Amino acid sequence: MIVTDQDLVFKALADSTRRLMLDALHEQSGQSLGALEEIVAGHTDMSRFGVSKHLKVLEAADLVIVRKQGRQKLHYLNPVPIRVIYDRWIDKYTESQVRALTNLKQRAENHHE
Amino acid sequence: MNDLSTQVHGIYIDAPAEKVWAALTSSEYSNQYGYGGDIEIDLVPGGALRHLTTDVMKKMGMGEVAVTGTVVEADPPNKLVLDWSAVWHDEPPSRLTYEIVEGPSGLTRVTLTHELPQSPGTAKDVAGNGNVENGGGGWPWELSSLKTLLETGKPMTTAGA
Repeated sequence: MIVTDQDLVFKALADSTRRLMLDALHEQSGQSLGALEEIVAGHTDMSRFGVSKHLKVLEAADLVIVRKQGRQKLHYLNPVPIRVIYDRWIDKYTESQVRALTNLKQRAENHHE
Repeated sequence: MNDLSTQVHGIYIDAPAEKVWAALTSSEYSNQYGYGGDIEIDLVPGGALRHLTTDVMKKMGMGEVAVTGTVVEADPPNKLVLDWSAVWHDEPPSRLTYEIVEGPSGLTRVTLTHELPQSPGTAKDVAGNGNVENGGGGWPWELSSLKTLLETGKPMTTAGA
């Protein structure tokens, strides 16, 4: 089986600690490993190594982008992969429903003319 | 309230860097993805940028121009730095940087960094809130639709078209 970019995103999202880290970066983007470690420690018992490993998974899925600022590495949330999944995948299933409603609206409006 | 003062948006696009550059800087492409509208840009330091409005935006009450700006650095096809202002907010210009790097496999990495410490209203809008029909897609939707256009050749516009 070929592992696609989207597989990496779904895999990254399928873990509560990683979702907690994404939520933390959504609240405040551009955080250091130490800051994220503290946030995770408030919820679950995890080593710095564990947090770092989770960050690597999020980076591989492109949900987190690392930027160097001086000597510090800051982690930024990248919302784009989730948007791409929405546009490519979820839209596909909702499109027909929207089109059905649009057609209904048009028929109803024509009926009044 | 979440902090949106520095936003980093990244995407991989299966297209050469030159094509991505053209899509970001020319009206030929700009009307086929994202919010649409013509682009006027003088690609030299100090050059002017104007992103014009579409008919839909004009119907929503906007004038001729949606975005104004100044080119800080233009290094085609790899780097474009702009001072960028959304005309619908009365806020100071923000710093927008595109980094475009084509990898050995032919995939091009586009990283957009938007620094808007003094422009909270603009920051909120460009971050995207998912409601594309009302123009709320922001950068994530703009980049996603850029990817769709360059990879499939199919235009993807909602708010602007």
